[in-house]
Order: sequence, then C-alpha cells, then structure tokens
Amino acid sequence: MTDKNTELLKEIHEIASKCDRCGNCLLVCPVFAVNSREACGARGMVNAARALTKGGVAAEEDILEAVDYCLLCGACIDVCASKVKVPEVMLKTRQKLVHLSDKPFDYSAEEKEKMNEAFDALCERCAEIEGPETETNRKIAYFFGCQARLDAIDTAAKTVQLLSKTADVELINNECCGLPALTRGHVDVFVEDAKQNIQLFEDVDTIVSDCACCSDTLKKVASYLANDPEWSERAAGFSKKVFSLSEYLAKIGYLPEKHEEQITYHDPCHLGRNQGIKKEPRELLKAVGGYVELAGADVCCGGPCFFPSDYPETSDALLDKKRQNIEKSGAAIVTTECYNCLKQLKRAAEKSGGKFKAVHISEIL
Amino acid sequence: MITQEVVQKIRNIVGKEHTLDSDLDRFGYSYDSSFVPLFPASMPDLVVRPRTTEEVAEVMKIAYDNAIPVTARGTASGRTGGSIPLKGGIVLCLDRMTSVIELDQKNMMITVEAGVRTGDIYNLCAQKGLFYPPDPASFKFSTIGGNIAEDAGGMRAVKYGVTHNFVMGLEVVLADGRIIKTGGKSIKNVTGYNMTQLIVGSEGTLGIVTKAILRLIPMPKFRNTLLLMFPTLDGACDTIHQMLQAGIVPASAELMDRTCLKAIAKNRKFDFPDTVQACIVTEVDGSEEYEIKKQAEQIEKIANINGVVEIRIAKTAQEADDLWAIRRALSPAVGALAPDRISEDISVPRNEFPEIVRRIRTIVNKYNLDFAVYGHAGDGNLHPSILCDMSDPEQAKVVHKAVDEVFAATLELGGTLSGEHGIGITKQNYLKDALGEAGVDVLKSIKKALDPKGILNPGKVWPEEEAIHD
Repeated sequence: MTDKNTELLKEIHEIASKCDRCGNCLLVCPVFAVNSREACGARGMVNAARALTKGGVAAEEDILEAVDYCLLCGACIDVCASKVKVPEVMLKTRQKLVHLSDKPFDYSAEEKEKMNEAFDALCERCAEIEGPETETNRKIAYFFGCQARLDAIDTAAKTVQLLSKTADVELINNECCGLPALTRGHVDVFVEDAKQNIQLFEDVDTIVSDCACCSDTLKKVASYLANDPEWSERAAGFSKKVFSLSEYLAKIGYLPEKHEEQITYHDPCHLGRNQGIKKEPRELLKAVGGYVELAGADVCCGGPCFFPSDYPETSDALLDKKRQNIEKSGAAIVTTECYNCLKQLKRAAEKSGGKFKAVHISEIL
Repeated sequence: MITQEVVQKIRNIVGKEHTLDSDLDRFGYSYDSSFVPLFPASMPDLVVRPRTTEEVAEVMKIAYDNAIPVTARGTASGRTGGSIPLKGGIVLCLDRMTSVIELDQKNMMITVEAGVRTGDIYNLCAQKGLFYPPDPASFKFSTIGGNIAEDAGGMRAVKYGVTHNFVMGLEVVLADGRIIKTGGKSIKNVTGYNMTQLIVGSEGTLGIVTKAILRLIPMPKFRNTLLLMFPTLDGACDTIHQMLQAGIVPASAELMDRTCLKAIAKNRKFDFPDTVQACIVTEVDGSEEYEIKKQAEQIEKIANINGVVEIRIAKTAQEADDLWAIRRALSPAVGALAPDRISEDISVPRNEFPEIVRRIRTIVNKYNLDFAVYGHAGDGNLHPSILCDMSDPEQAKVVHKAVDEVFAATLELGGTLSGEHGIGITKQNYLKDALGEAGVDVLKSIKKALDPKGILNPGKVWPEEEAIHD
C-alpha cells in the first residue's frame, strides 16, 4: 500500500473514531428520514468508514455504496456533540475507494462544448451592460460556474448585471471549480482544475461566485494545496479572494430595490453551513420587502452534485418536503444562491402547480 | 446458524426489504453507544425489522423453534451493550414500530408501540398539557422500548422518579412467540405477580416489549432554570445536599466538574470564571409562580453559604433550553477528550453524594489518572469518567484497578453499580458482589422459567455459563 493510501486511512480513522454512536445525527439526517436502514444514515456511514480502516468487515464496494448516499449536507454536525466531520470523512472514503467507482465524475465532451459556447454567449449579452453609476475603483471577476453555463445563462447575466452596478466586472473563462470530481473522490482532477483557476485569476483581487457550490469549493482550494510547497502560497492567496454573491453585496453595503411580492429563502448547504453565510442573504432580502422565513430553510433540498441522478427517489422525497414547506410559508417566490438548489427548486415549483416561483437571488436584488 | 429456509420464512413475515443479511448491514446493527469496542464486531446473522406485534410474535416463534438467539434493539443509544448481539442470531430491531395507539387525556395515560421515540412522547403529551417526566440524555433519539428495557433514568428522577415509576402496563412477546399483556390502566391492580415491574429493566432477557401504557401527570405550569458555579466540588455537592434537606426538591439538579466544563467549551461558546471547579444546573417547577420564585431564592441563599461564584438564571424558555442543551451534550463531549473513556453509572444514597465524589477523587489521583465527574447530584446517581488511553498497557492495568476501587467504595457506602444504564455486558463481573450468590441465583431461576432455551439476549446481565439447548 502506498504511503498516501496509508495516510488516507489514518485520516479516515482519526475522524470516524470520534463518533460515539449516540445517534443524535439520525434525528436530522435527511436521507435517514427517507431510508431508515442503519447504513443509510450518518451514524451508519461514519462507522462504515471506520469498518474500512479496520478491514475485513464488509466488501469495499458495499462501503463505497453506503458513503455515496451521503448528501454531504452537514446537518449531522449541527447536532453532533463531538462535531464529527462527517462530510469530510465521506469524501476521504470515496477518495480511498475511487478505483472501485465507475460513476461519471466529469462533464461529457458535448457538455464541455456547450459550456464554452455559454461563455461566449455570456460575454455577448454582457457587452451591453453599463458600468456602475457612481465612480468606483472596484474591480472584480465573475466566476461562471458549470451549472449556470449549462442551463441558466440568463440568470448568470442577471448576476453580472447586478454586479456591474457595484464594480468593474471582468469575465474570465474559468475551469470547473472541481466539485463534481471531488464529490466522486477524484481529488487529483480537482487539484488540476484548482491549479488552472489559480492561474487564470492570478491578476484579480476579488472573485465573486453566485453558486454556493463553487464559492465553497474555491474557498477550500487553499486547504487541499496546503502541503504542496510549490502551490500552497498561491492557493492560499486565491481562496482568500473568493466571495459568495450575498457575502460580497453585504460587505459593500449594497441596497436592493423594493419588490412587492412575499419572498422566502432556501439556504444552500454549501453556503449556510459550509461558509456560515446565513445572515447576509436574509438581510438583503429583508431590505427588498415582504420577507418570510422558510420552515426548515437549511434542510437539504436533495439536489447536490449527482444526487438527483444517482438517487432519484430519495431526491424526490427530499424535494417534496421542501416543496411543502415553501407552500406553507405563503411566499410567492423562493430564492437561493446555488444553481444546483435552483434547479431542484424549479422542479418543486412545477410540482406545486405554480403556487410559487423559484428564482436565483440575483434576479430579485 | 440460520438456514436459508428460515431466512425465507422470516422474509415472508416482515418483508424482504426489512430482512437484512449483507455484511455491511449486519455490521450496522452490531454496535451501540457503549464503550464496548467496535471490533471484532459482534455480528448478528440476520437483522429483522418488524412493523407489528404479530410480526414480532411470528418471528419469535420461528426463533424459538430453531433455538436462534434474539437481541432486541431500538435505536442503539444504550450505554452498556444491551443491544449488542453477543451470540449472533437475530437482531430484532423495533424502530419501525412507531404508532401512538392512544392518548387518554381523561385517565392521563398514553399507549404507544415500543419504537416510539421518548422525545416524541414528551412532545405529544406536552401539547395537551400533560407531562411524561423521565428524560434520559438520549431521550430525543432513544425508543421507549429501550428505555423500558434498561429502566432509563434521566435528570428529572430526583423529583419524579425513573421509567418504571411511569409504566402501568405492557404488551410482551415471550420467548416462544406467545403474547401477554401485563398491568393495565387501573390505578389499583394486583392480579398475580407484578410482571410489569419485572419486565421493566430486564434488558430484553425475559421478553420483547412491543407496547407500553405509560401514566402521565399534569405539566407544571411554571419552570425556572438556574446555573450555579462553585470554586470547589465540595461546595457544589454540599449545596445540593442542603437543598434537599431543606425540603426543596428541584425537578433536576445536575453536577458537572471543571473537566466537563472545559469539554463543553471546546465545541460551543461557553464562558466560565477561572476559579470555577464545579457547576450545578438545576430546574425548579411548580403550579404557582410564587412557588418557583421562592425555591429559586432559597437555592440562591444556600449556594451563597457554600461560596457560589456565579449564578445565572434563565429568563426565557430559550435560555433555559440552552442551559440544558449544554448538559445533554456533555457525555459525548467528555468522550471526545481522550482516546478512551471508561464511564461508570454508580448510585449512592443521596446523602453520600459528596463523600463518594471525595473518595473517587482520592482513588483517581492515586493512580495519576485524569477524570471527569458529572451526574444527577439530586438523586445520588453519578457518572465518573476515567479519561485514558487503553492502548497503553500500563494505563489499562491501573484503570481497571481504579474502577474496581470505585465500585468497592460505592458498595461500601450502600450504593449500587448501575443507577440507570443497566448491566448489559459492561458490568456483569460486579453483579455477584452487588447481589450475592443467592441473589444472582434467583435471577437465573426467573430467567430459566421465562426463557428456557436461553435465546433472549444471551450473554447479558450475567456471564453465560450454559450453552443454548438445541
């Protein structure tokens, strides 16, 4: 076994062995609520990872299957008395067992072509946008995420338009943030993407991303390259430049225009929990007008990277709960700051028969 | 051990998706929340998850006919290995039996299936102004069936008692699959032996509890929570001692020492003065507001006599919840302080609480060990935790010595080795010391009568000597 592999197993053991199996996580684990076999909940998944480090307990394929079911939402950590880093140990286990996985982890050639064209399309649309009304030295770059490129160019354009009111916005044809590869355990591919992005944004001081998945992952680049002597400093510098949309707008004191309808907000797991950004979007929306809080706002919508296609039934079950909560809130519009969540919420809007609309927060602000 | 034919029969009863036999699935049902090591795993041969009493009875009949060991399980939050299947066989997981049969407001009783979470029972009753008091730290997640099997305690025991004080009746599936009902809703009821109270705390070794009738009391209208911080452990213990002697019975009075406070502060924002060595969280309740005000004043007075450094009184329900959340998170937080943690569950007569704490400290200091003390100071039940690294053979040796001495001290003071966690696996060796040989023989006779083939949770409570009959 290579040094890296042994190291990885040690890291998995270090995290998983902190679990004392109290079971509190299972009260909030969204997938366990759908599928109540032990191996389908946070506690079972963490201990499956522990079984991997022990060896000889269960087939590695089965362990991979168990840890693949994790949404990586982190709701478990909120209630865990020992704060076991469940999503992290899930990712490390997937990384350790990556040789057993034949699931796709990258976009297809057609999708990649579409994404390139999308960049050109965005540049075209944004050519007409005027700069900020008041004089400002602010220069930022927009990170154009893959999900936005594939099905929401209009929304991205709205974000750029919004950002252009506050600063001089540069459009860079960035690489994928690498989350899909990371999710599947292909850390090497993620690191390659990261290095590309570091170089592309070298001359930029501020990077704004309107997709929680991207902003979170880009902020994590520093930790993944911390032990690389050639890249660690550049990576640290890079991650420091990254801001989520509402984080940036709150920082500069942006004042949105008023809007008539009742609005509510769904916390993307990658924004609320992972980045701790919950107050900023809410403050911005409250300034817009009739804001109502969504019950279970931070419960995962079931739409993270690959999850809806890997586990359609569970994804639908989670989405259904989200839809019911949105309907109960009485809001006409539900907003969010993540393209994966947005896709999922739009499906919910459809299923509700038009009782509410789902839009990106940039379309409201 | 279980033939494919038998597995198929069981699949036909509970359904294919609720009969688990893969390695990983079985591993998931081989552990609980005790410090029994995860490996080598005590794997069951089969995990069965029934939905109804009838399914349980049919499965038990098959198990009995084929002499297959059966270990009942709720959500495996237990602390003594009660739901760990020591001899393979079937893990009978009742967590799908979540029906509330009836909330009888007139009689103030609730009838539930064994898999209902205790926290859900509490909430359901609270909505109707009724109160189910027993609140083990795991209550949000543990099942009532599990609580009953272990006669779970909790923080409110000092004023209200433990689980068995609230069980009026049970539906039990016997080892051979027959179903009996014990007790009932009548307040006065002496019909044969008190089987209800025999089954409560029997740790799944005498029968499988499938339903329970629990009595409730009116929800106290007013509550107040106080946090008291002391410069000495003695000051804290004496405060509780004097409180009770003065006739103030708090709904709960929890003690935490400095090691515990530091453990909590690691994972959540919690500030306390440097001089603080021990802290008490106590709740007073009553039906009149002046009652709880008076109790709070009296407690403050006594605390001041004993040198209290800081007093925090919760002003809102949310603040009270926050204070209690600290206490509930304690056990796992302490567990995370060291690679291993040997935690005990000793109980002494209330007045001996300060003395047992002093003796434990002496013992642990003698062996140069680190420890944390917390517990239900109001009722004499405490959980001293020895923090160590059992992979160090030197430490392992002295830890066992220390635990032995702690137990000896407990028994000397007229106490018991199992306040509320049960005996399970982890305390079997001390049973004879506690009960004497005749005492253990009586238990064995009862076990033989109700489970002649020895298939119900074998290997628990006392070390097994006889093999299972075929």
